[in-house]
Amino acid sequence: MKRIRRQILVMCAVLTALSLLTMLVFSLSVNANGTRWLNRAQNTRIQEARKTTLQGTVYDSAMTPLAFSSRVGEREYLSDREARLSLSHVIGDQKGMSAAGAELRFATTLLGMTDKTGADKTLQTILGDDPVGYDIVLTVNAELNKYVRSLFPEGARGACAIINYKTGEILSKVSLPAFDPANMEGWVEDTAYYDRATQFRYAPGSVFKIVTLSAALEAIPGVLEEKFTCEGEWNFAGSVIRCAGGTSHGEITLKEAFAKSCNVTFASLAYRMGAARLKAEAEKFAFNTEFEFDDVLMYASSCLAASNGEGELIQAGFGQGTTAVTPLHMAMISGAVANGGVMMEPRLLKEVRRHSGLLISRTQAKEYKTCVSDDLTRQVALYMYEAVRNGTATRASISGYTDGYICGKTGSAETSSDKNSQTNAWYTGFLYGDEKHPYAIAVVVEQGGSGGSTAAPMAAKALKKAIDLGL
Amino acid sequence: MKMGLFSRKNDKKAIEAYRKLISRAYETPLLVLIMVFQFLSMGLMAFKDGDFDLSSLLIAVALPLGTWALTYGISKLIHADRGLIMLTAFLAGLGVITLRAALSSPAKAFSQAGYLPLGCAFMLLGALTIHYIRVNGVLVWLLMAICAALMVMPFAFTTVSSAKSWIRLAGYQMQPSEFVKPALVVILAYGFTRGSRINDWFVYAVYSAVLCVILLVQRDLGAVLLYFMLTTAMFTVGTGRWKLALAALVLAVAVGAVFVSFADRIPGFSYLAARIEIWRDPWNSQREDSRQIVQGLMSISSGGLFGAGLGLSAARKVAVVASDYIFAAVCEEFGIVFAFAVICVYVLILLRGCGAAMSARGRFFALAAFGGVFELTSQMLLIVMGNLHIVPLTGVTLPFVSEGGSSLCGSMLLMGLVLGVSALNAKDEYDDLNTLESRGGRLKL
Repeated sequence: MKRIRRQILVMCAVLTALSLLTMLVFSLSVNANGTRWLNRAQNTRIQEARKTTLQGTVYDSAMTPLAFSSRVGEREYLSDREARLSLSHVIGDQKGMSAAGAELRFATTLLGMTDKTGADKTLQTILGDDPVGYDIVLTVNAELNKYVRSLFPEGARGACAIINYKTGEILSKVSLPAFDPANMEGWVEDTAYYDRATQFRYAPGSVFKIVTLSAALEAIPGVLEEKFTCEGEWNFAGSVIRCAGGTSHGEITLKEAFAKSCNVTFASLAYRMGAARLKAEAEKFAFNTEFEFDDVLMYASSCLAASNGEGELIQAGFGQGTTAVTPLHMAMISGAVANGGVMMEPRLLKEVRRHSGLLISRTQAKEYKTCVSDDLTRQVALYMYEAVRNGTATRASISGYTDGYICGKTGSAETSSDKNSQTNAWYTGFLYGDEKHPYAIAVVVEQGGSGGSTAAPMAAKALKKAIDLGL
Repeated sequence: MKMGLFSRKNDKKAIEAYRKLISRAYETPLLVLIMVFQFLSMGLMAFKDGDFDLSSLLIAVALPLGTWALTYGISKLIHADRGLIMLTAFLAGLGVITLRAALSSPAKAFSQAGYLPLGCAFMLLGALTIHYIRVNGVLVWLLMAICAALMVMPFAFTTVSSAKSWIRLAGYQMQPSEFVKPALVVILAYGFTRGSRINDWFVYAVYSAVLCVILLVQRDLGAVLLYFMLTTAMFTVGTGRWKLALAALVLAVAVGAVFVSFADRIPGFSYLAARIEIWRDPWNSQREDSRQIVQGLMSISSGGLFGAGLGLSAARKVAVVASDYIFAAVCEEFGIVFAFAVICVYVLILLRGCGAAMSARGRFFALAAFGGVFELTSQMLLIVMGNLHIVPLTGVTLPFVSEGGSSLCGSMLLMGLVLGVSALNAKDEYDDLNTLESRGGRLKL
């Protein structure tokens, strides 16, 4: 009997502990994920609340109102059409077509559905006021965004993301084609609602060489002094690896190979390291990871995720094959190199304010992860600097800029085996060692041709504009 | 000479019994609180949306009266633990209130309210059975035969959702596994207290395993899990062979893991792989079938700390909110603080039930009471953790609260067993006190 009592006590304690644990996990997960769970198109409570609540205003970082309501049930957007189109994926829409936009992502804040206590509700009922939501201030600058959009060639598709790599703030995010939040009745093609900066996975092409380079520096001792031979193409197991335009680079160092974007050298580096090594390095830079950011809905990038055969590995060495990355993630990778290996969590929400303007909360910079060592990033940044000074990315340089070093990497990613189709033009880079303007950027223009001639000059102009605005 | 009779041991028992008497002083306020809660919330629902709803008002009056009658009625018949009765009445009432508030039509709340008297009858049945009938081998064998017959009956009937474990007759349907649960507690309490040698308990363990296999074939995995956990726990406590129980647990986890990983190749179980997949990633997958868990989590988090307000939630958007997801509705209607309190009520039932088990005179009674509360608590944990996305969702009910007559009556029967044991304890203590007094002792405090 004594033993039975003791064992009942033990079992009772276990179940009690489990119940307490359930409550703990419950409160922690609702606290951490609650708003993310709620701010979704499937949540019918949002549509219901919009009928009864005066929605808050969405401001850009310069306090320009982007979306505002003067009456319950109505929503207006900034009147400048070009700016509005450039911001469509930042603002979002009332119908919930854009999953990434602020209108949905911060809906519970704009509607004041979060942290309203029973006392608040009662007071409102007594005063007879319409419930009022909170105002939000975004990190994005409308003027910069409008300018970046104007840089894209007429009718082009693509995306651009500019971030502050020290704080993770998204300064500009453009996706083309766009939709007009003020006129949701007009026809747009299906993919216009997707934010190409965060929801499209592009083959990175040569911009991925940043990752391959970083892996090689870690895994192959003495790789800096090595000489590589490039004959313009490499015949491996039936498939041919070519350098862009069939150029034969001859005998080159790693630095030259990176600056001139030699596919043959980087394919052979990947082959020497092996799939496991390259995949591990890519994962350090947050490939194959589900992102669960508070502010940004971002799809996972992938590298050697499904297959890691030798053919796949060699393609991955220069960012082809099944390697895929979102433009914002690419900007974060550049940002991590610029920030001594530390990747910051991307942020879109700067402040939450009461309708009266009273500040309620200001979000803080958050480190997302430490990718690689500080020493390693110096080496990579140096090579990226060389690419801008003497390599494929010379057109990314900004005349008269002396506050730091412009580092970058171009890419011309093949999207089909058809020789006549144009490559996607990529550029990613950052302003290195510039305390006042710690910007990282990624640009992709679909079928824009070569990264060096299409994307790099766009990045130069966009960064120049950001510097001029003094963000 | 008096001093010799008045041993320290008896003194302690008398004081304990007296403390129990004193603890009754807290019962009246608790009862009043529960009754007021039931009256106010159902009364509020009667005037919802501006339409007067007579039947809600009737329930608003009937619920508190029923709670009062149940609490004093059962304890008049036998000295059952009033705290347990009141907490059970609270949960059963909460079920009706939540169904009325969260669903757009009041029909389910009314039919659930109609099941309540039946549930109380089952509770009484359980309590009186334990209190008055001496369980012996013949009785247990008879029970085992009846249960086995009940369990195989659903094979003759059609399927409800993915689990094939219902009996349908003349428009009514019933889930035998809910009624077999309390019977199994009695069977195992008898079987596992006969001794710790293998031939004492082997037959009963095998019987339990056979029931699990039947449930598995009926594809009621939630019930398999509950039956298995119940058997393992009761085996550990009853025979004291915890190493063996641990080995069985490890083996079951291993077999379960293999089973789940090959589920898509076993005919009839392909849905299992999908369930696990949904659990792993309910948000990013484009799948239509993760809707339930997505809506459930939205519902849970949208209530905030203090709830959306009675009748103001959108919990009806969640599929099967009336049974599997009733906890989400409680969260959204009443808020997280209240939902925590509900979990705490189950913990209180557990503690009080284990208290009754530990002061029982006789291994059978101890194990029966323990088995009863263990089953109720583990079922609560399984479905609450499933709703909260901590473990994959299984289709078991939240005891007392979820919609459904079978589930309510089965849970009430289990609670009846615990109450019966608590009444026996009170009787024994009362006898002790009488003996003490007739020997001339007096209570000192």
